Amino acid sequence: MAGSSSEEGQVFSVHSVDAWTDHLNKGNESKKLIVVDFTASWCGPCRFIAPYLGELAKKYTNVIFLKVDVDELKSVAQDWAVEAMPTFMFVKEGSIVDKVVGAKKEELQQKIEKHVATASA
Amino acid sequence: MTSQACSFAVTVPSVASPLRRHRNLHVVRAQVEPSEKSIEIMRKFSEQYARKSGTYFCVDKSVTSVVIKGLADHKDSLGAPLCPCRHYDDKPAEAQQGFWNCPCVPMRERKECHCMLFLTPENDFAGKEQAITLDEIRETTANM
Repeated sequence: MAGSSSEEGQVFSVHSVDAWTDHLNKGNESKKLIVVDFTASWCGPCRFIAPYLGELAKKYTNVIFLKVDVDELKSVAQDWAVEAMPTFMFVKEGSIVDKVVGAKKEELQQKIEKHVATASA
Repeated sequence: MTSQACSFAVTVPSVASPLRRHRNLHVVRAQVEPSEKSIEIMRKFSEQYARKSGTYFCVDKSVTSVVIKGLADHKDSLGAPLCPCRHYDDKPAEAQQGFWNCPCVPMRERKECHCMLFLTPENDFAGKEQAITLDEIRETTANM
């Protein structure tokens, strides 16, 4: 399998542009759904939803969950046109297929369900 | 196999956290605690503005506390309480422009606070309080 088992079931914090590119490339090759959480240190709703995202990562082990701090990886946030936090971007085979802006638990899970279904179909 | 060794090295938390701390010293100042003075200013402002606008703090006061600290952090670094729940390519320019300085234009015009600092009563996450103490802010953000 392309995905490494050690990264399954958790939200992986990305701290460098190199690591970011690496994760994205690996994810795209694996054809798995990637969910990127764009966050910031003093963003209340980001902290509010963080534990829930952790639960989702445990539940959807065939999805890759990444976390990016917009102040830490400024260029990534800029390239991906992140405006508000939290923003969740859904990536599949190199394209952004969906996005959720805000700490919207239900919408987040619904969209994961939707895109996971098409990814494994 | 080699792929296993590689993924192992990437995911060891003890490797990741010192790296991050090291990085923060040079690049990111967001993790530094805002000044006590600015926290107090933003705390008072938040209470007053909640009352004035008829909005309430989140049931989870840690959300309120984090945002107040974020506003204080921007007040310290930029001179203005720029919204901490948005990304800007140029923070100083944005703070000067003022659209996203708290209370931001969407809040003033439509009571929309994406940061969940000021919630209208019908919001699912709205609590019943318009007050928060400095101790509450300290307690709810203690292990961050």
